[in-house]
Amino acid sequence: MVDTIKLATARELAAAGSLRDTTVTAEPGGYVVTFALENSDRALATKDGTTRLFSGVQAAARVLAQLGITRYRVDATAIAGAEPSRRLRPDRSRALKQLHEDSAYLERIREAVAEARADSRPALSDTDAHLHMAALKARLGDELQTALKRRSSTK
Amino acid sequence: MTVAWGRLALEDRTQQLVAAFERAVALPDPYLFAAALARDDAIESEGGALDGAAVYRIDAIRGTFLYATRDGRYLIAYQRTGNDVHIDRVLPTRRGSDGV
Repeated sequence: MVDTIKLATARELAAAGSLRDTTVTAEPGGYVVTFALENSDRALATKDGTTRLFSGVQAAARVLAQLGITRYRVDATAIAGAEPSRRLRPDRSRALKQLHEDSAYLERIREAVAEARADSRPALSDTDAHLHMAALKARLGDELQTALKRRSSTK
Repeated sequence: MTVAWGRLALEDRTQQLVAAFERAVALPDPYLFAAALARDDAIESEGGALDGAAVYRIDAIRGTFLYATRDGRYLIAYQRTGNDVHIDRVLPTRRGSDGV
């Protein structure tokens, strides 16, 4: 088990020229970046101190580039001959699900609008619509009062 | 500059009021119906102002303008010819409901 080193520390060591060698090593589930220091090897860590696992060499390369490291070795021994694994992307899964739900919602609106366009009944003017809805509201309001009174009197 | 309400748009509004009425009777809680009345008044008011600035989603539904009410609960689908507005539907937004 290799000791770990956090990104901020690695940055300082890189700036000081203390990183002698950098290796991107394939492991089950991803790639690990290891730095060879003067006396030991250290794996790049996450913020909580566990070994950071990159999804691919490109992802590791992006972080290494931030440290000014553009030359490194890639050790793919562990996955030699294996089928490339398909890494799941939960964020993309969520985005696709959202997109699907958006499409379904839009389709329901489209159908509702098509139904309205096919309706041959004449529309009501703003004023007539207001009167129509006002009458409905008044009737429902009266019915609600009656229903609530009946309910309270039966208690 | 006119605004006309299609019959299905009025039925959509009616359906929302009736649903609130039924909930108000069942609980019972008259506030539920009062809140629905206030929402419908807002829909009517905002729908009546659609002959002003146009708000729409390009090509989302051909020929249809979509307006989300200020409370974010309803979507007003309408057609517009010049300043004449024909309101087709008043539908719950995705946030306002699981379905149309």
